[in-house]
Amino acid sequence: MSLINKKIKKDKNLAMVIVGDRCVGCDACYVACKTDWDVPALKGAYRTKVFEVEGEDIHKNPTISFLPTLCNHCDSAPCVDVCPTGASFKRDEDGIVLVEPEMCIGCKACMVACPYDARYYNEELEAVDKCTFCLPRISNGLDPACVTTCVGESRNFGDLNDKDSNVAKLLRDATSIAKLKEDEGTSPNVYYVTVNY
Amino acid sequence: MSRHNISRRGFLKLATASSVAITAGITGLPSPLRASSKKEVKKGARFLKYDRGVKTTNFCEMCFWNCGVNVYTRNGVIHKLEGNKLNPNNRGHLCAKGNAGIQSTYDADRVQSPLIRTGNRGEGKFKKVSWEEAYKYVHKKLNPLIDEYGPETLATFMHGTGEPYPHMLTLALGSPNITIPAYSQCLGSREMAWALTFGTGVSGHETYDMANSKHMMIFGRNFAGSVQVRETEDFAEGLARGAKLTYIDPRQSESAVRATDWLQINPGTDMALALGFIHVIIRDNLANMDFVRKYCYGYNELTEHMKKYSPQWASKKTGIDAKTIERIAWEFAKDAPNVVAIPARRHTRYGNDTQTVRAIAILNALMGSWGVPGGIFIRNKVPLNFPKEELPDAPDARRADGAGKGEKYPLAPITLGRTNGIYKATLTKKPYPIKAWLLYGTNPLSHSSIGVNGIYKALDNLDLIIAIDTQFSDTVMYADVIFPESTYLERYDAPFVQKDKTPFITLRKPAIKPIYDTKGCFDICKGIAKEFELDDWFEKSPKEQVEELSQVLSEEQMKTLEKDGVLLFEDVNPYPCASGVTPDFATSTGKVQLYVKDLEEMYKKQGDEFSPMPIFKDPVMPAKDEFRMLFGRTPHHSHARSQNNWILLELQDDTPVWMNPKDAKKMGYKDGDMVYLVNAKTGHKSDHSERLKVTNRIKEGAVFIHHGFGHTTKAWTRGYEKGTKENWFVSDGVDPISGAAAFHNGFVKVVRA
Amino acid sequence: MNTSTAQKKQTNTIWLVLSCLVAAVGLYGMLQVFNNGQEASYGISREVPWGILIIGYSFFVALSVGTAIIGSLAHVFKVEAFHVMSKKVAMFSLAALIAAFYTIFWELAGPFHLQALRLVIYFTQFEISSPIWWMVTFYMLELPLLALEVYFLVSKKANSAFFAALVGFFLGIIAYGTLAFVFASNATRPLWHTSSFSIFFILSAIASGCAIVLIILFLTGNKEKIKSIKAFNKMLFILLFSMLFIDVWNVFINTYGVNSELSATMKLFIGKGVLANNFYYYELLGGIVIPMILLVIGGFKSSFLSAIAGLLVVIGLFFARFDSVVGGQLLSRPSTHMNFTQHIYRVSTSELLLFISAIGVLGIVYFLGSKFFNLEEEIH
Repeated sequence: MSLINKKIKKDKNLAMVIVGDRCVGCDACYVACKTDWDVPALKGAYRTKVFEVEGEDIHKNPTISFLPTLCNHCDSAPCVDVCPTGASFKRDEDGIVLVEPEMCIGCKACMVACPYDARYYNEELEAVDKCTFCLPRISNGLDPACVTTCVGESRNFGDLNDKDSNVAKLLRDATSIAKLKEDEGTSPNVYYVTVNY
Repeated sequence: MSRHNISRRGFLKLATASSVAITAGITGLPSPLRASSKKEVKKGARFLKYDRGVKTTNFCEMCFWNCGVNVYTRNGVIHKLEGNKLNPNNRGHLCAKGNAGIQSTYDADRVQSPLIRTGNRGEGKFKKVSWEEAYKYVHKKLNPLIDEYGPETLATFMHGTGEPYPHMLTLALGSPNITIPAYSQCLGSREMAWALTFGTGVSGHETYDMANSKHMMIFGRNFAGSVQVRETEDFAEGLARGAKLTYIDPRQSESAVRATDWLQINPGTDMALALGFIHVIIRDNLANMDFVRKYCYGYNELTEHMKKYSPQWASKKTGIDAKTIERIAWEFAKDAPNVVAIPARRHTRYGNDTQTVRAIAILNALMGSWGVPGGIFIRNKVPLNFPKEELPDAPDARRADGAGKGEKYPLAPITLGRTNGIYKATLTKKPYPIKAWLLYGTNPLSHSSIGVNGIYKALDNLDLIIAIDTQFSDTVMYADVIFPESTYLERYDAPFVQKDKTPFITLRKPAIKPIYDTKGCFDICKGIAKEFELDDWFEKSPKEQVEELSQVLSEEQMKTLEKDGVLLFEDVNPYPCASGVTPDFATSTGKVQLYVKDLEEMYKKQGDEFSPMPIFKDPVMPAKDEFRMLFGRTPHHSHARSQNNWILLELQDDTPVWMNPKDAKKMGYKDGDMVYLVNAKTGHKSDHSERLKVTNRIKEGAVFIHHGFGHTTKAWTRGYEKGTKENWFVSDGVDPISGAAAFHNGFVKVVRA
Repeated sequence: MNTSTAQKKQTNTIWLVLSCLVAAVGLYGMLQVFNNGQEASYGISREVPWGILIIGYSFFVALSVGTAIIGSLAHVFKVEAFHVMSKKVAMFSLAALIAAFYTIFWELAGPFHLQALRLVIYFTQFEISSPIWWMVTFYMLELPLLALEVYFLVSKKANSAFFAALVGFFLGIIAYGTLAFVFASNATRPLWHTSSFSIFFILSAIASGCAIVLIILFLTGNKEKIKSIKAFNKMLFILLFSMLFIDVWNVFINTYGVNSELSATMKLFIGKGVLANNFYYYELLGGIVIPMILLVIGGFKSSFLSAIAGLLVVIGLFFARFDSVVGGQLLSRPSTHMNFTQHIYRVSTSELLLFISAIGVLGIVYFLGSKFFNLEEEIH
């Protein structure tokens, strides 16, 4: 997306696979995440959130669906491209997009660049903050906080390069796979799937 | 906003003021200079460390469901709550409320020490006193009342794991008036109907086997919206495995979204629909006759009785197409017996609640869904012989609430009592004056059934209000003496033994020392009892009760329990009917009662409402410019208890008034208008205006708001006056059989702000 | 030193004091930020992260670059008519740039921890894909260049001044183009992600430069410079005309999308949209149409009317920046299957006062420079 295309080479292909039908919209993920990562007490400060989408079907009956959102850890991340100091960066080993708070000047260009509103300004860190795919947890053998707590077991996390991983299986068996705003060319790593089992 | 909330970190900062001073010196430096002074900032290195902290096992107390929780503390401060994978109540998951438990503990708005009221009632002026003073105060005030009116002048309301102790205290003092609002304000009518039909209720941890079900027919039980974790899991799991879902509700709830058929029924006609289904099932010979012949009583009477309830008739009452009723009845029967028809949990609706659930229970009986996978499983007891606990003798005095044999509501269990009956008795002073209330974790001002005028007048009739609570709820603000309870993360409780599909024992151990000057409910009740020289009843503390488990458990079991926090007893059969074992039906006939013999006598004396088989009566309807007031749970809050929890308030801090577009057009309103609710009967107007949400998701003629908001307690710095309290707009009806409340016949006017 | 110079000096001092007073209102905002933090003090949010301070930055930079370009026209193209008051214009350009830096300083994280310095520390990361990195690079060159230009002009080193102006001309255009690129590079903000956005940015900046020169011409009483006034009048008129053309067609064309984000955004600018009043009255009518009419009425030579027109253009420029920066952020949706959520951006008192104080800062720098370098005595 930028003038200069950085080559993406990942050893691990980490991905979140969200089974859409299983999400009940309870927002347990929101609270678990905020608590684990000391996200400030502010309505706009969160790393993940579930949107309730109201609509209508073809018979004009009301419908609602739930859309859990988080950072998509895009392979072509606009937020990384725009960062003037390199505070926003994408890890080579697993593709996780992070912000190093010690380097952030708070220009918020990444917040503006993100098509998913996935970032927020953390007053306490005085830096922009975002979902880390729970890197501290996963590098210590735990699942991400939102995955651990997910009541409907809607969220799944793992390495797509590992053919036996839960996420790889889900993508194989899925009857439909979608990613958010793919037309923006971001190559997101959060998948929304429907599975028939 | 963030600055004014005491968060856990905020608390930590306060608690470790000295270290703050040191770090303040460091942070005083311009941070880029700090960063550059290090040789090299390893980009992202900070994201590789994770200190999980020390684990203690607990179970959640954010709602009544009691999920298993592992509490992780770092340096004596709770960092994170996580579900206990081994606990069958939640299998490792926690809901938003459960995750937010920490914020309720580290909350500066909590009750922080024993208090005695100094100002007027409700004014919120208290003085800090010692525990001794508070105990003595209770004695000083309660003793004369007992002398004058007898011990039965004390009524006790309880909700929470500490229930046994106020229960013990009240019994020891000699009052029979112990009530648990969970009966009359919540699931009383439902349990009554199941018990009349199958001999046992489905219990607080409902026995619906949704994960294996092929067709769930749900009458307004919002599994996705009320989020009791295992149930929500099972609901989602069942649907993911391809179960059909027929969801019946005037409002499209979070659960209705997933329905194969969402039937937007006329409010108050669920029974008519169930009767219509039963009619079709009998008419078309779709009943599971194997089950009916083996286990049921009164099929012939039922056949006769159901003749008049044709789908066409049901269609007229419910507003649902007769063809749809027939189709769904057929589909439902096709998957029998692995189907389940589920009534609401809080079945305090239209005053015909017991009979409505009866109809739904009959539907289950005809499908033979009892004791089979995908239907209703059987709860098993923990196969251990616990030493019998000694209780004081049952008091001689008659109950004030009309529950029990020889009273107006003979079927209502005296172990739970009728909370609405106590409210009424306090208000009317009949059958005798109630002069003192002991509130344990309950908040009558947020779930009373006698309206704003009634409940405040009732409070005026009281000479003493004793509150044991962790926080200043609306009613605690009216208390004369307040005992601060430690939260579930700070205290021991007795071992939690749950009768279930897979029965289990789980433990609560404090993760931290009490932050404030608080105690567990046991110590508080013992302290009060001591003043009356009744403390002999309080022999073993919760901690000792936990330790005593080693008498009944093997060493290995004890070790597992200590390590995992849960001990499962897995060698049980939750599906007896499927495996050919005759289950025990504890009804008076020993069979599944399609026809309830127990009601015959009352039917003769008191009429149709007590019919042994449900008879439908049209619901009361609102006048032309009025709306029926419906309310329900939000997934983001626990009843009326969590609206001061900052993280949950972020998820929801208002109660928009839902209205159908047709109604809105008639009234000239549009989405986003600000409106007040006015109780059509009492004229009470809501405290502040609410946003109107115009949506097809609510049936014409009804409005809906979420339950639990609109708190009047100023001690809640965040939750004060957020949203509207539905309590002032509900009806004060009573179900004639169970004696539980009926809320949904309340009517409101919606006026522009 | 004659009396008129003395008088001018006195006026200068009055202006300086006034500027200090205006700058002082920013203390309230600083106090708020110091005590309560930025989140609590500013109106910006997760969804609308760029507010009036960024808008103020782009506004002051526009003034700076506009005046720098205008000031160097005379040198670059050797047009005598443009050759007026180079020192004052250069000084203004420098002052506006400093005001711009002042504004963005408060927008950046941790102002009291001087986190803006991290930009300097981590500059060597060479984040060449980042438009902001380039923008910073260009402005790091622009600032000393403007200072040098002032110095050369004051010390009457004509040749050096010429080269400084020449470089300044191109650097100004490139730098401001890069600032436009900071916005326009965001593929996710369709309102910005057009080429006309950058063109409008640079045209309006030059127009504001024209406007400032006209205002200075009027205020310094150089009424005899009729040739210059005429030249700048005509130039401003043409610039305004092109801006009007771009602005109006931009709205018309983009409104005709079918349920695209761009057409949805455009609806904010027309009808009952939240930015419609701004757009109609301040940006189009006040900022472009009325100034054009005033220029015509004045027959392209009225010193007074063209100064009024200039003032309106500058105010209009602010609203144009406000509309485009805010408008680009107001709508969002996490998925293309959802409707847009329209967010709210309300300027907070602290933000507004900090912005206003930047005007004071501009004044302080300009009038201090004026005093220091005796710019009042400039004759041509």
